[in-house]
Amino acid sequence: MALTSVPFAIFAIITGILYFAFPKREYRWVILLISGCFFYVYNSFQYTAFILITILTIYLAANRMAAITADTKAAVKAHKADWSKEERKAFKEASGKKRKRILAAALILNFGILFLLKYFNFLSGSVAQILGSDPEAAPQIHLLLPLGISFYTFIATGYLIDVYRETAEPEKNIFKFALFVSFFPQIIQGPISNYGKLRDQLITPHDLDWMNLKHGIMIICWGLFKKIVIADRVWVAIRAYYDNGGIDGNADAAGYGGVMVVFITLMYALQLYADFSGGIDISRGICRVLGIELEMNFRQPYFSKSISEYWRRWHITLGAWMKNYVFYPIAMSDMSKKISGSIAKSSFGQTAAGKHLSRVLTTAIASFIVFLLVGIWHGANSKYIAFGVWNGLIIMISAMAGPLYEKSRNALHIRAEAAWWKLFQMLRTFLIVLVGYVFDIADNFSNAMRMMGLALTDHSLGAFRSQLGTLGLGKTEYLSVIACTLILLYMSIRLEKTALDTPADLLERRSGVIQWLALFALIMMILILGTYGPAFDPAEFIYMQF
Amino acid sequence: MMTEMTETKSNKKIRRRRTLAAVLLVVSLLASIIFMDHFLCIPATFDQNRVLLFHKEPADSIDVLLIGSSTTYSGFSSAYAYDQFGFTSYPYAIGGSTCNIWKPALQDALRTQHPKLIVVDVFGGGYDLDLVESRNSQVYTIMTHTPLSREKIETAKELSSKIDRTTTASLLLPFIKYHNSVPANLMDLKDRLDVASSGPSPLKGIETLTRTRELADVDDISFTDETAPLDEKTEAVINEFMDYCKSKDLNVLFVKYPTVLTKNDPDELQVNLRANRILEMADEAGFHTLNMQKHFHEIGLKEREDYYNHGHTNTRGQKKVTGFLGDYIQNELGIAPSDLSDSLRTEWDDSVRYYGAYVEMSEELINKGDPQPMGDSPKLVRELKKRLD
Repeated sequence: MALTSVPFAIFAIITGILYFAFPKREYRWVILLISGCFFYVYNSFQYTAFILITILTIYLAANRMAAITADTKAAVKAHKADWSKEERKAFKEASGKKRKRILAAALILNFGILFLLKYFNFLSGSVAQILGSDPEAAPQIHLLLPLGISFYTFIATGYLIDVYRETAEPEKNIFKFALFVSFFPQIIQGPISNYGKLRDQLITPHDLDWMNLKHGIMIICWGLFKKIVIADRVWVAIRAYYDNGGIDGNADAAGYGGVMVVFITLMYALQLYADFSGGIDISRGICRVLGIELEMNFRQPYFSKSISEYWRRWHITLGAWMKNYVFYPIAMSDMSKKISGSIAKSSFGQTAAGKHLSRVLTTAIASFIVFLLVGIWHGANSKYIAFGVWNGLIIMISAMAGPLYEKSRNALHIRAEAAWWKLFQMLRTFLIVLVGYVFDIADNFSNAMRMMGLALTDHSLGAFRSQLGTLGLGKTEYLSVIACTLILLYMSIRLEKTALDTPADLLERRSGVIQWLALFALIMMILILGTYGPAFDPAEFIYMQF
Repeated sequence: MMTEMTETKSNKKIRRRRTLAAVLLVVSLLASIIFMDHFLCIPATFDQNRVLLFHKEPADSIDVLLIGSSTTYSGFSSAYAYDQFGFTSYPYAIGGSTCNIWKPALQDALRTQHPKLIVVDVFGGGYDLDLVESRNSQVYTIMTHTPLSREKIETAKELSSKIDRTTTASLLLPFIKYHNSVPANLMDLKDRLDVASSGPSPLKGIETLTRTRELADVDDISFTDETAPLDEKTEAVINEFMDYCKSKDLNVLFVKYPTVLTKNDPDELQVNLRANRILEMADEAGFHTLNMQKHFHEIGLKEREDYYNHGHTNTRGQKKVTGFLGDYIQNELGIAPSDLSDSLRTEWDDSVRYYGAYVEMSEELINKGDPQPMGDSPKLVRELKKRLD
């Protein structure tokens, strides 16, 4: 039941009707829970046990940790008079260790499941290859990935760490916690919601509100426009490129040159953004109708002026998760402090470069690790690891070479606020992003390198023009992609300038007639230009596979 | 109190405006979809026009209904048959049709007509259904013009289960399949509206090409009565069609139009041999059959002069085939022309005039060496009208 399918639309509408019509307002959240369970079982029946294990173990672990915390506080309070400071400290440390053990056990179990299902086969094959044996003969787990496992594992473990850090209260009601983990609009491809931001919204009853309904429908339509008008159309060309051997060893037979590599990479950038952000818009739109505000996951990422900014605008909730639960623990760890301290104390640490390095080295290393994990999160393949390493390296180098970069800019008398400079920064960042995407497009690391080599050396425009027809799109379809991309670009510029969240917010400033016409035009574009019906084989949302 | 009343009034006004806007949106969307579904989805081809214009014929005014594929509309002229034999007819045929199109086409045609004879062109049945499953556009051409009814829903369900890459929903609402064609189809909206708003066409669904065969295709054989076995799927579809005809007590003639067979094309030869097998099946089932291939020389056909390619006749061949088939229908099967009302007679007499102009124009283009497809369309009718005026 894909987000863009008719059955899903019917399911979402029925859920909405039942939710708003349910007479006992305080139990409306139960409708969402039942819908979530139905959706999961319907789509991933044979893997339901995995999400149940996650719900159960995280729920129990969080409550056990909270109970230990409460018991510790009560004991400390009760023994305030008869315990010495050392005794109190020792007792607290012992409790802390217990909590840490519970946290570790729950994290190992849940990430272990994720690892086994998602990465074991890749790792087993790689190890076999390194040891010189046949990777295909290596032990394999023959299971598909449970729906949304990367997303719900991160959502649930994020909550657990928050409870461990005591920044979130543990959920006492297991059904309410199950709702948080299995909430159907976000289970397919995120966003990776934060418990503190979502919990109350899910439990609090909402009534049908005209503005929410109108905005929600507009956001859903905008998401559909991005997904089925742009992303799925462009996917036809990308798939044809794949099928014609553009990404593998048969590339010579296909005869695609460097210009085609650049073109497909641009198409991929468009498709990936339209696909993922379109799906998120559909989820957010459904939630808006229900009166629930999901976290923003994209903020015009291709307008970023640096790679670190790009990752603050692209898949924002994954970035936030990584920052909270991976980056900070590494950057703030005793080991990091020690490394920074030892550099600062050394003779090199007394120089300007040394001082800078002592400040940024550990954060740069933490960033690198984060992006390595981001790459691995995307999938079990050397190309995703290369994608993560590429992004991590760029961020690491940028952080370490920051002063040099500033000096060069000053020496060239370039104003940081100059429009052309900002545009240059955007284009430069986009180019770096595109290089990362080549790893994504290719079927493995070596082919990614081959494609990049082609892009740098083969610039035959004539061959490219004659090969455009092999990508499965006709002239009208190319024109429709161009026109719709321009609409997307225009809306992105408007949103960037106004700092608003969605096109629905932009339209809210216009008259009712304009809003009506815009919605009508948007729906007509989806109906006419959308890739649906028996003539098409719809592409699944790319991020579903992660 | 006053303020509360004013607020209530204002709230009511807002609610009314919102309801109106929502209703207007839904109605506008539905109206747009219905309009596009009807006028802007299926490509405005001669096939599309032929089916649409068939339904413009007055009810129960067709004596002989011809169904099948391109060999039907290129091989038979209704106007010429009326001129020579007096019976009315119409080629309800769609290019590239396979045998699984026969039943829906016949069902659709029988909604408005009750012909004395149905002529089924078996040539399309010779294509192996497993190999041509992607040919599903013909069924959409038919379904587009069928008004929504319980029967249509049943037919759509049946077809979608049998024909690859079709769905019940898209057969009922072709917009679901053809929505992407709308922008390109906007270009000929005028012609589409002209066809939709016109009366019966004087060209009666005719179509051919103004060309003679290339000299390269000279390795001809004229007749073989050998047969080749049908695949299971095709055989089942044909048996079902024959059962349907029997259940409706229809007078049916299965016919194979004469084509130029060439030894250089074994695939095409196989299609012909399978078509022969269909004639054999029809004969065994007690239907009339006629293999015109057998009468190639008797009809007076010339392999090069009368054909525009190996399978299809130009206007020269068309007249000869129509003459032979019309004669068979009248004299062997005893189909007599119906008494026509004055308006119908005028309409058919008019079609004879138009056919004269059509043949004249076709001859000019053949002689000029200018190969043009000449099918039933408002544009061609306008051109021929100019000639006649």
